Amino acid sequence: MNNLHNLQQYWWILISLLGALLVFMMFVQGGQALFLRMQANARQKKMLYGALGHKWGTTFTTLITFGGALFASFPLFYSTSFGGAYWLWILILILFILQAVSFEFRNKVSNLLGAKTYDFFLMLNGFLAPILIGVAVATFFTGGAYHIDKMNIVSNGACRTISYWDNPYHGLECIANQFNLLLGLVFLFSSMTLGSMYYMWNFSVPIRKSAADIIREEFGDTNPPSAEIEAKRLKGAEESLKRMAMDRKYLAGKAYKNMVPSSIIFLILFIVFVLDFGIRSGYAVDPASGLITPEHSKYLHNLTQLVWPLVFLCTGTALAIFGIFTRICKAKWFSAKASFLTTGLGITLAVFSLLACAALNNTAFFPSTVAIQDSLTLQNASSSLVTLKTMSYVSLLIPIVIAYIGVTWHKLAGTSKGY
Amino acid sequence: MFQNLTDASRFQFALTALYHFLFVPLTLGLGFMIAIMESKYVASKNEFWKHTAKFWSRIFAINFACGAATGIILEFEFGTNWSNFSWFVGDIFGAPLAIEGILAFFLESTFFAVMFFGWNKVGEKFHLASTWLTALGAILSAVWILTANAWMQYPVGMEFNPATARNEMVSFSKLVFSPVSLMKIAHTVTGGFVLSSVVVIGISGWYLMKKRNIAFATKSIRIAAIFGIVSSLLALGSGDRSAVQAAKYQPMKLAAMEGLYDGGFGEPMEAVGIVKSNDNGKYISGIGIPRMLSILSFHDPNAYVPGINDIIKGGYLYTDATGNTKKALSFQEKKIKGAIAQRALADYHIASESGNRAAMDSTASILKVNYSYFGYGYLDSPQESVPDVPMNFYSFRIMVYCFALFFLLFISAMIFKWRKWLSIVGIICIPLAYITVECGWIVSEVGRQPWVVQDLLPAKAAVTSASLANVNTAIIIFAVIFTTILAAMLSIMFRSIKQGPEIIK
Ligand code: HDD
Ligand code: HEM
Ligand code: HEM
Repeated sequence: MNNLHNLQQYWWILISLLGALLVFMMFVQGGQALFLRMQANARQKKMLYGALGHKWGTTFTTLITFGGALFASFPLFYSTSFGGAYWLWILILILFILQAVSFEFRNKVSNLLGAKTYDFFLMLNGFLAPILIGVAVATFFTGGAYHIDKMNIVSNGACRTISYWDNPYHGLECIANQFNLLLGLVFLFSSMTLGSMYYMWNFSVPIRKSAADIIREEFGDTNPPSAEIEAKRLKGAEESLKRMAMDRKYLAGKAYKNMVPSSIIFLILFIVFVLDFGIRSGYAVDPASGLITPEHSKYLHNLTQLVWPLVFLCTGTALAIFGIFTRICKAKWFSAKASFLTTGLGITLAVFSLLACAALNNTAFFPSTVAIQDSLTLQNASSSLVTLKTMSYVSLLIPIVIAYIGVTWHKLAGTSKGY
Repeated sequence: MFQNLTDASRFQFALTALYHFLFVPLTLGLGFMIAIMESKYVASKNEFWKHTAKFWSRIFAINFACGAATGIILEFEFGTNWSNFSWFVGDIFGAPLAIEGILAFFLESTFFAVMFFGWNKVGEKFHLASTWLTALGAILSAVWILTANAWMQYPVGMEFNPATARNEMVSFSKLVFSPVSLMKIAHTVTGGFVLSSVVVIGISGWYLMKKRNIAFATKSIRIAAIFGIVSSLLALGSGDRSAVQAAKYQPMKLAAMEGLYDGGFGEPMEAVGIVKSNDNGKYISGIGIPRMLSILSFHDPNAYVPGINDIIKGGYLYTDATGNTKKALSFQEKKIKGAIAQRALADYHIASESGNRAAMDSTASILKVNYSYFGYGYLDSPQESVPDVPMNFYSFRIMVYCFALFFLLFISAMIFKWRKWLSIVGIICIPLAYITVECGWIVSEVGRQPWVVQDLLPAKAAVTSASLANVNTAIIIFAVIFTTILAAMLSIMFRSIKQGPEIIK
């Protein structure tokens, strides 16, 4: 851990991993985007919220950590992309603000705006957040229209900013870029695929609640006033259990109906994206001089020269296809949970390898479209050795954090099965 | 709207930060009180405590979500609005921010899920542990962000690297254990505790006034009053130390807090006073407590406290961070040094482009000698180095007087039999507590103007070159969204409070 070059690679790998996990965790967004298409009644809607309800926080935190880690390890990217593509990032943030409050407020009484408004916010977040995050991530390949001159900071002129955008759109133009948009759509459909698979898993496992649980939820822990009332409550609870089972079957069926087209569109778009990615030119950096030159099929070269990203990409794609396929044909021998996790793992691996290719193997990871030599590379954008080293020690705790989250989710699994 | 990009960006940051801090302090304090209540439940198996804890958890949850929603924007604003700053200090500043995400937020959101959705799902002990960890996790988030903030007030543990034109970390432990950082953490966290105690007492007082949920309210008040007394004493102690540190490291902030234009030995402190705006100079009138300011800021009744004009003129003696006595430089002298440092940096780059090693070394050493005044090179006039005096003066006083009011409230809640007037005072104190914490931040942040990083980088050199119209638009969007969120949250909370805890006895 004493070599700046290795640490820069290590941190890019971590960032790619966080980005890939974020794409996986956006199954929450996918689930939101499906709200309308699930044709649920009010009661079933609550069950949909219940299923996603406890997970949004983790997606949200993954985004924050992705940002934080980028700031700490490649601050020049933070100041260039965030400051330049201003509106792109601000729009993403607004979408996430809306999501956080909507999940928390929607089912509360006196929530001021009404459940419908919060539903709408969640729909917005469900559709637009994956698209815009896709656009933002794709700028690792397509870059931005910026100049960098660190000496601006001591200039007396009008512009003291060391990195500045060359056009007045401030990131809006990134959304109009086809390649960026394509990745946005890939993320949208991957999250819808995962979201519907998540619903299928959630609503297909047996209910873990008993009638007693339902009574407790409804009436608290008190003893019923009389035996008669007790019997009545029990009957009511049993009925609602039955109703719940029917609702769940209905929702699982709807989720399946949505999953089939979403996953097919996802796979098609994904393959188109990978082909486009393969023939794209990138910018190579000469590690000795720092000189940046365009190179045909740079990303394809990265895949084949580094090998492991290629292996990850192929494995990931295969896993995703396998997971999707087992669900489409409703394989009995492979549970809905296993399909969801397999597809999720596959997508994570595939996105991870694509992101890794953006910077490793001497590639400029955020090209400037107007001043090639200003493009960001792992060398010129990274933090210092001391900072990267300190941060690396901290990063060793990440597995513990992830393990803890996994264990807790497992323990809580009974709660996410609807209200 | 704003005519100037820096002002607009400052306003945007202030707006979002002040909103964020409407939600944070309750998270910091209420979590602990809930943990205490739940511990009582687990120890005594008395359902009463479970319901009490659950009720306050509902309040906590609604508030928490708003904290998360407003926090995310702040983190990204360093990049979107302060892009030069992000590069200039990112090497130091980014680390605590990232650690916060990796360690604090992830764990926090998981503990939180157990705390809210885990009743009856996980064992009692596991649940209790999660509640305690939620409380601790919130503190942990605060710790890291406050470390970053304290570093801006008192930059340590770094060195400027002319080749990369930024500050680079040389000692992580200096950053983490900086005295300013520790004090900032102590004061902000205890301030959050005070606010939470006030909120619990105020809401409980309302129940008592309505003559309902008597047992619940009385016992909640008791816990909150004890918690409040302890934490307000800690807030007092750490607040006092904060002022001492301001005197030492940010004398201009102290002078602005006191509206002190012309200082001297054995300075009095204005207990009340009216201050004119910066351009007019001097406060009109006030009632001073003799020698109080000298005592407060240097713990010495005869100490010399420099005023705004003295700091601009320089020439007085002071003790620096390493304990040496030095003569203060005037604004002009600092400005010259800053200009020399900036010039040296530019020359360094010219030399490095032509590969002239000798010139690189000599310019680097000139830069190093003058670096501590680097930021003064950006300032045009001495007036630019003075923060908004009335804002600091009044904010500081509001904070201190509210402290006294809250302390009396806690004591009264302990010793008097509950009366209607206490309920009314308690309810009035809730908004005052929020005003107090916001005033504290105004002292801290407006008081350090024009600096984003003390003496090194003024706001006008830190800002992103986004167009003014962009920032103005963003301000409007955020103002609308945050105000709506706040209104919805209040509406839900009022309803929740009206409904009350589900206590049947
Ligand atoms: C209810 C909360 C509360 C209470 C009772 C007090 N404070 Fe405070 N104060 C805060 C809440 C706060 C705060 C919001 O938490 C601040 C903002 C930044 C910080 O470090 O804490 C703050 C900042 C702050 C600062 C600026 C720190 C800086 O330079 O960055 C000073 C000098 C004081 N306080 C001093 C005091 C004194 C002398 C108090 C008591 C007599 C006091 N505060 C009571
Ligand atoms: C949540 C509590 C906080 C509040 C309420 C708060 C408040 C403010 C206010 C009022 C300003 C505007 C000052 C002015 O323009 O006159 C400001 C600016 C700023 N604050 Fe804070 N602040 C908080 C915490 C922080 C923290 C923790 C950091 C850093 C980690 C920070 C970094 C900044 C920066 C970079 C600016 C903009 C530059 C400037 O105007 O100085 N703030 N804040
Ligand atoms: C201006 C700088 C600040 C930034 C960039 C910032 C960032 C954030 C973010 C991103 C979140 C959401 C985390 C999540 O739940 O996923 C958050 C929540 C929170 N912030 Fe801030 N914050 C700032 C100021 C502060 C200050 C000054 C404090 C405390 C003194 C504080 C304490 C908290 C707490 C307790 C939470 C909620 C609990 C949690 O999620 O861990 N923040 N903040």
